[in-house]
Amino acid sequence: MLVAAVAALSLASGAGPALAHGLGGRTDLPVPRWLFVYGAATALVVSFVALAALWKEPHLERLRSRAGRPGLLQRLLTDPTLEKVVRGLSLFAFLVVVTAAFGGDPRTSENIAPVFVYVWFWVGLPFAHAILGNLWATLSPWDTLARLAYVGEQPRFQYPRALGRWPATLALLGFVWMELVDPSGAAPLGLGVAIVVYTLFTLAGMAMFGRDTWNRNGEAFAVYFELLARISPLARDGEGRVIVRPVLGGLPSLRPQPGLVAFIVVLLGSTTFDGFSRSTAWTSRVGTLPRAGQILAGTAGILAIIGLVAVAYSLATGIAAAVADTDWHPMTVRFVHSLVPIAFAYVVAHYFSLLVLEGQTGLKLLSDPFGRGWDVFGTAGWAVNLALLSATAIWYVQVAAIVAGHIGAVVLAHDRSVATFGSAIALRTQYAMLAVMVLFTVVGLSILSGG
Amino acid sequence: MRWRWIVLAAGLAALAGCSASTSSPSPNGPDREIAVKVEGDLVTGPGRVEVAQGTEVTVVVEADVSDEVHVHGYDLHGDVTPGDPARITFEATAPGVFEVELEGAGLLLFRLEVTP
Repeated sequence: MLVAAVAALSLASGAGPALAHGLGGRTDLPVPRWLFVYGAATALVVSFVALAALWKEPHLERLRSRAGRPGLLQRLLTDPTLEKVVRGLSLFAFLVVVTAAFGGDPRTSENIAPVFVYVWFWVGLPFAHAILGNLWATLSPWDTLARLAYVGEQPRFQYPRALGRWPATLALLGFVWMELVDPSGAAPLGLGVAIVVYTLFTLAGMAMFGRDTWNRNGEAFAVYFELLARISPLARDGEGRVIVRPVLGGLPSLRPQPGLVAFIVVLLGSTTFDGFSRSTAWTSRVGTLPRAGQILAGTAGILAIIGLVAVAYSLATGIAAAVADTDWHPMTVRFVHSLVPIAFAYVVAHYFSLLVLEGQTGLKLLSDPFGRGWDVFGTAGWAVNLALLSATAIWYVQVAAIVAGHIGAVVLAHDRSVATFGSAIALRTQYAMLAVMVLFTVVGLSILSGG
Repeated sequence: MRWRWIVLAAGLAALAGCSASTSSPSPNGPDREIAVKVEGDLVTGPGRVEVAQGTEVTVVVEADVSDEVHVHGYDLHGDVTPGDPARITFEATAPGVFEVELEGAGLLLFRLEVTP
């Protein structure tokens, strides 16, 4: 429903550049071959060493987090007044973005909405969550709106267990379609409409099933940011105190849910498609098609790549399950947490430069969010410095991120396999899992190095 | 338990070991002129142009409509009318792949690849 609305809007509106990535128009240089080879080799070496050194007892699975000592920092982070202030600021920002989308300059470069949503929100917040923990619990404007309107205090219906994370997965699919396939996805007006539609969808879900239940299951960004927050060493315990745990420490406690595997596969697949759609192989063929053809090709492409990711992962868990003589589906569910570091690594690799370079446009537009010629903070005249990051620095960050994601995934999968099977069988199941992770790593790297 | 750290260290060492020296600023390359012709929906020109960082680039666009040429990233604009080509000259100081398009028509003219 949501996807159809946005699709209809994009087909109808002829305005906007017919480029797949209407924001910025700048992409990173391809990673040079030698760096790609080193990165892939490192990933392979790490994998083999890890296999050989497979630890006998699970470590991450049985974590004991260090409780944060009460103190000034603890009081600050859990202060209810500060929470209200942050919620208010976040809601204000949301309202500014929506106003800009509908009433501001229709050009993407003069309007704060596209850069705020596609750079600060969609790229900046994942970084923040992987480092600082689940900030969205406080930042979500939808949660704040619901609280202000007393929506979702009591659920009206019992949330069907079988639905799981599927609503969030479908909403996520709609968003990445708009971001990556829709040629005018970056245009402020379409973005504004999508935001309003999603707000209504979210509030309806909250009203029906309860705010917290919907945040856990149906609100795509809440699900996404909550997943990434599990990478962070910072978390909250049952009493709401801030605690410290090892990096990736929140992932082993990820509980199986219908639709969770699909959600993570869509994440991984969409970022992979983004990289692939910038390659010459794609742009030379699809770039010359008329608009409707581009949308069709893009839709088919993103679904195909998501499908390929699903198949690769299923194959690996299928083989591992056969080796361990257990069922395939539980295996798929038990190891999906190890894909999260890879998904985050892809986000870092593909979008880190976007955040640092095009993100500066957001600072400039902060002074003139609607494109009226204002200069509220004095930054309206700023020239964006695109040479802030050298090409070499970008390449190193990209390759390091992908390799680090690979290492994280291997560690998580190993630990889970030892916890599930006991070391002899665990080792044999890991061959297939490792193979698929090396595949994701090498594919990730080769997309970065494809011109 | 220790193995994880050894593995991590090995990975990072491998990466560090192959770090080339930081890229030194390249001297201004020779000037480069890129010519593109637009007839209706058809764009004739190089699809992708590679220049070294620091090169002085001149983009010349001939079109049969009145429109605006936009060099993304560098955020430069130039008007083109039938019979009066757009000429945009700039120094390619920032690395990356930048799209140059005909703004109103939404046509991609070419991609400029600025390498270190």
